[in-house]
Amino acid sequence: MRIPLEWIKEFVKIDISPKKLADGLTMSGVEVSAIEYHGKNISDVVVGKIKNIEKHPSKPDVFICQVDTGEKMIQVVTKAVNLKVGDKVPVALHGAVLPGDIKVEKRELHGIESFGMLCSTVELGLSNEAEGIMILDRETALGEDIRRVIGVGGVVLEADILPNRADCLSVIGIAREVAAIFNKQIKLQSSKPKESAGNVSKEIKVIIKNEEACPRYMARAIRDIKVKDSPKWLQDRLVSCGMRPINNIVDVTNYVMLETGQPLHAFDKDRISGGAIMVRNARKGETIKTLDGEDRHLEINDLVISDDKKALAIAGVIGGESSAVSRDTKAIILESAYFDPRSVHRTEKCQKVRTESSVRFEKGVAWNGVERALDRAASLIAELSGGKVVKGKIDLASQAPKPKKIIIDIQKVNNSLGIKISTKEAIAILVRLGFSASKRGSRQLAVEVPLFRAGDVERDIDVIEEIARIYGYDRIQRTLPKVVVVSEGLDKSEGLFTDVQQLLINYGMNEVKTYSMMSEADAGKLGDEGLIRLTNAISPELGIMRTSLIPNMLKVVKHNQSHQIRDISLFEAGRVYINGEQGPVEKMSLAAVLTGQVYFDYEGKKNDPDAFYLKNIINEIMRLAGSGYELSRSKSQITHPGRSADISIKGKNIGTFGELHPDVAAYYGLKGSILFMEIDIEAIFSVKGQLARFTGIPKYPSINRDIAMLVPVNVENKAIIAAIKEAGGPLIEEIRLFDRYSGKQVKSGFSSLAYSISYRDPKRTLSDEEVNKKQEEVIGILENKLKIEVRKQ
Amino acid sequence: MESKLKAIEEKAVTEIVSANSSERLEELRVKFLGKKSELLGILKNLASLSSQERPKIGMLGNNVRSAIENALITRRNEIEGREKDEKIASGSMDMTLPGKGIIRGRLHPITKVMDEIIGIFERMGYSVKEGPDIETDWYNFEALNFKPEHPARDMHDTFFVEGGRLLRTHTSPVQIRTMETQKPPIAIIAPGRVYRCDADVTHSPVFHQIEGLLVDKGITFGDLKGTLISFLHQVFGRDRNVRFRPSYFPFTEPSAEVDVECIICNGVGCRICKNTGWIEILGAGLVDPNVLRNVKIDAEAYSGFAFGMGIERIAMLKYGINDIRLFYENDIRFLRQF
Repeated sequence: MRIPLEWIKEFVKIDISPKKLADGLTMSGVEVSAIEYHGKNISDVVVGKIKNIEKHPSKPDVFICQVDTGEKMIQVVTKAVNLKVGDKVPVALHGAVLPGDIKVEKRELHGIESFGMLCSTVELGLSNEAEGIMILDRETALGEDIRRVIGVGGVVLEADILPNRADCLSVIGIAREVAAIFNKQIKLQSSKPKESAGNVSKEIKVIIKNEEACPRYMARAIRDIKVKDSPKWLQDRLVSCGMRPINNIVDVTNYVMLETGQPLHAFDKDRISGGAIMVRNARKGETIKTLDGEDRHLEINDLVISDDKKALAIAGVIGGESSAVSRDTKAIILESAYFDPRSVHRTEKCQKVRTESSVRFEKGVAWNGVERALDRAASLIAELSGGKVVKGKIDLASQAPKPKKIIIDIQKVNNSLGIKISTKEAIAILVRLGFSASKRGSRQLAVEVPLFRAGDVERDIDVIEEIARIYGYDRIQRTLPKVVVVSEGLDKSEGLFTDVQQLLINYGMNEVKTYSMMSEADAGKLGDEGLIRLTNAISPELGIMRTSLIPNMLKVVKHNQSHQIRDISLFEAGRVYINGEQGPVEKMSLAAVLTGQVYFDYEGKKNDPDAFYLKNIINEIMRLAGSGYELSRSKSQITHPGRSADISIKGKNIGTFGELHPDVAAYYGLKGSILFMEIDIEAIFSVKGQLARFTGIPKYPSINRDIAMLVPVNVENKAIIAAIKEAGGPLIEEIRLFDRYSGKQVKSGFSSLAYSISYRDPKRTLSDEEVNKKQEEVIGILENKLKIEVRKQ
Repeated sequence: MESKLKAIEEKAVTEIVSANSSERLEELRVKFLGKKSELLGILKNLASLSSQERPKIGMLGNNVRSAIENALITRRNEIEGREKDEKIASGSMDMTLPGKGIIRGRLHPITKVMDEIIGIFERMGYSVKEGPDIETDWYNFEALNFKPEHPARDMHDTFFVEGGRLLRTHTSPVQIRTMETQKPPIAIIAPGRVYRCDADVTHSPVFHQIEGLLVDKGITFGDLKGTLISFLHQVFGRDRNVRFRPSYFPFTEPSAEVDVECIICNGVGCRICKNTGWIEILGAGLVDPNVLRNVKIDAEAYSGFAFGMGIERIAMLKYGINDIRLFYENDIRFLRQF
């Protein structure tokens, strides 16, 4: 909300700088986000400092000054005699405007170029006469806009009002805060309109059909008005508050709303059919053209003000065109009401409209402010339009609410806040805020909540907050909780997770974070079921909760490839979401995507990783978790069928790794072969892992034998290892593949493999003969069982 | 004979001294000491000499052999030493060439900031708790004292999913989930993703928060201040001013917004802090008694405080990042800077 400082000062006498005032408000709960200085018809006048003064070469009464404006040095010619070097003065720069619409431009004076003008108080519109140039305080900041220095014109505070502070959506509300913060008195003058002849009940009848939605409705009738533009002061106020002046009637309703927080509405009396207005729910299919030009279809929950034919306004939200005050209006019905916050809020959401009026009603206006605002507006309208206020006012009200009484223990105030405030000080704070408060016994306060705070102060803790914020959060001493809390420490998964992260980083992977949503098309590619869809997605790209981290990561690859980055290795640890039988299920997933190099070498050794690089990483992760795993050909829709595998632990599928299907890579617009893995990291964490157990360092030497062979392509490594183990028995310590080749030099249908087998007996030294015998058995089984051609040395 | 031996020695030593490689030295060894060498021929034929001459020539011959052997050893050491030096010298490399191997990856800046914050609170005795992203209205709003149709709900632009659940708009539901199952004393932090239907330079539909909650007997607003100031000093530096100002959240009362002195301009006023000199970092307050009541904790016996902060915002301030979307774009050139 925008609040002119002058307006606040009408209610509270205060003589501090706008900055101090703003800080005070901010530190008490009304956050002033900006202070605007509205110079009256002044622009481009800044604070300058006289650096040098020289006499004109031929005219002794003319001086040439060099002035520092903060940004640059300019030369200004003047006749003033009260200047000395070091003085700070107002400088009107080239292009400046001064009161009276005087434009300052650079020009030649007595043959010397002058790039601006030094100003006196007269030129700035501050006084009628002056002796020389205005000399500013030495502390004034160089280059500062003069409007901020001399406070010419209005200062407007831009304040963010908290959602529970309906009372602060008004100048009086802010003035009350200011009075409470700076310990001042607030002065509210009552303004009763001068009533003329007649009787309001003869002018209009009001019928309330829904008392719950409209517990109070007041109205006055004003006759013989002349609708015209508002006076300038009123227009200026509205403009500085960010509202558009319309005419003297509408402007007054807005003005009084800004001042008191109570929205008002004026109907053209002659355009109300049937002499009565009704406050009722909208009828099915009813429409209204509202003041914003919209044709609105009303819902039966929307409360309207109507005549005997149609809706005239949406209650508390926006007026209708048909009964709007126009230049021809002669008489008006002025409405001031209390509409139920929930009802107004419902209509706002349903009609998708928020107005200055509705935001006040939705937070709750003050019950007793309804009448004050009505009277204030009626007298202003009478004053500005020459209208006659018909005697009497309509006031249809259900039971008036009683101010809430709260008993509060000063001990509780101090215990909650960690302060030592006296009953007396607490009472003083509350009274300044408009509460009534008195001492009750030795430790208690009897507090009565004013009606304008009925919406947000209901319990002792709410009163404690009031005391705290005016007492000042700053004054509350910092302490640390006097408790010993036993931390549960890290659980296994947390520690393991950190290890996995570090592992991936050490393998050259960069962590990414992608959105938790994906598109329908992504879901189609994955072929997943149990999708969770958003009902109000911001875009179809983000319409479904992701079931896999891969699609969004592929989009990250695309982004990077389109920026000429070739080597990309990424991982993400994040949740995936599917609908389970008991509702949504969220699981932590770990995925990696890579393409290009991870090992950097500039001497010709190309080391583009393949799926087996990822397999190594999976091995390491499983080792961290202390778990074994099995592999089988992948059933995933997005994998290259021959170069991928599903991973399982004890028969339960926990992930996939390998090469991305070239069609999927093409769909996402990716270049090169793309490797990926995705595993259910929670499944791994839940494995009861084997704790590492030390086995002694072997005392006896091992004997190594290499074996080279030509292997039919359909024979897997797994089978070879098994066969070697079968033949070699417990003496085999390790079998290591150290060379693999398939290509031109190997006959087709075969690949050339070479293993190194290490034999060892932990209890003795093996003899060459034994090992040779074993090795022959190994060769035998490979040749006979697997049809492998073992190369003889 | 004597002069012949002398001549052999002299010739051999001269040639050895001028030899320039190990290979040449080996040739000379064969030439002067080998089976077919003149010296060996003389020594083999000692028998044919007179008994008077034999010991004299024999001794002289052996002396000559020793002298040649010594010369060979000396020269060999010289040559091998030189050859080793040459080999080392010729093996010199340009040590300004780039490194080889795997270049370590980086953690995402959000993770780094999150880990730092979690670490600080864990050292203060807080435990990490998590809750689901897909929440019910009860946990996200109702239990946190957001009344139905209350305008405070409008401040949270909520995503809904089919079936009536929603994406949590803050990590505060974890407070409720924890208090439902755990008795005080409670000291937890809850990091996680949150969602709002909003997207621009400073808003992302997905972002991260960390929530904190402490409930026990006799917890005061002063304790909240002490805890958060200590935390903020660890993140932003000991001499950074911190201020608490009144605010409003449905689930805390009294509520506070916590600002730190702008880390860009040090409080002077700049574009980042909108000339206020302060930057909003945390929302906090004492747990509202209605919230305690909702989880059946005796609000007369216990009190507590809660706080929450946006991780992206802190990361943006810490690293000087000006667009929140960079976190989710994951440009490698961005990721590798942290």
